[in-house]
Amino acid sequence: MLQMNETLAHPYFREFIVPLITIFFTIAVKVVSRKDSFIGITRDDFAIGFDLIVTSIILLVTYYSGLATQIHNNIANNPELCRQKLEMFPWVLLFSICGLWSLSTIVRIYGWQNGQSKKLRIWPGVILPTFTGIIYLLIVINYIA
Amino acid sequence: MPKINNNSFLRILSPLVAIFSLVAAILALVQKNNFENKNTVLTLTIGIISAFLGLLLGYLFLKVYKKRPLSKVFIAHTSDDKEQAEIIIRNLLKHKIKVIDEDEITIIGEDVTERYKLILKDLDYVLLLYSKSSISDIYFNEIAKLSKSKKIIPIVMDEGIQIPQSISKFPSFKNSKNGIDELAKKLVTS
Repeated sequence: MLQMNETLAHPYFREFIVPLITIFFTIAVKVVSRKDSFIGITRDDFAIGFDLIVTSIILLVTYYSGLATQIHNNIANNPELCRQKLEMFPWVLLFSICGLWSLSTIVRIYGWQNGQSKKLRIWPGVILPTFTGIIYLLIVINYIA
Repeated sequence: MPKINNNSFLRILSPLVAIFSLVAAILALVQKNNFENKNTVLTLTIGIISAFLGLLLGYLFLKVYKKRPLSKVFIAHTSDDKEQAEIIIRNLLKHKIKVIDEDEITIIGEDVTERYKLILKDLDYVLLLYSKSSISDIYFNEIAKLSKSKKIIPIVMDEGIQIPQSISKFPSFKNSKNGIDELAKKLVTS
């Protein structure tokens, strides 16, 4: 039987289990917190791209904060690499926030059906942000690992 | 100086900024990562497969957690009966009956009846809350007239209210706890 630390340290846990759990729980929590009168499945339930990007940005900020603390306390294994990574932090954060903001503008302009309908369009409203969120999350998970 | 249309400007700018920013952010992350030591394509493929499994699990969870409503009901009332309507809605929701409240389709400055026509085809029943205020309300009576193609359930809110003759042929219920429970049971079993 695998020990807990061995399970967590296994590459497949990071590459397979973490994205799976993140996406499942994002959908599940969204649905559970929904108003009771909204019975049934809607497109909005699968529009989780923004949640994933925000989660990824928070993961990144926490990671960079940890790196900065390691350098400050002189406990970093590879201080030079940590410094190089930290130099990228403002740019990564700036581009991530700009990307998130522009993507939300795309959804606002192109993502909703015309007229009275309050439904999201399937491609620009659901698939584009969700797919972008998934790719961004996968890259961030691999980066901070 | 010519005016710049703000929305047209954003229509062009936002996709460009989104593509540029996200690609730049991803490249910045990939550049400093140990991707060159690993099979990047395999890592991302595994991640994408797990993401789709996550979506599938989410879908299955949705299917189990949010069952299809047993009935879809529209509740028409005036603003004076709003509190009573909310009590009825809460009681019906307990029985997994989806209730669309008139307030949900009301947008200031827009014709409620036009919006009502859009959702009418998806409804199973229409609850009409007859009270002293609704009996003479123009919009309420217009909604009652439009609902003739559906199963109508009149609810008598105030004692002594005379339901219009065209509606009186439908079985009505009283606005009491027993009356609403009886209605919910009938909606569930019908």
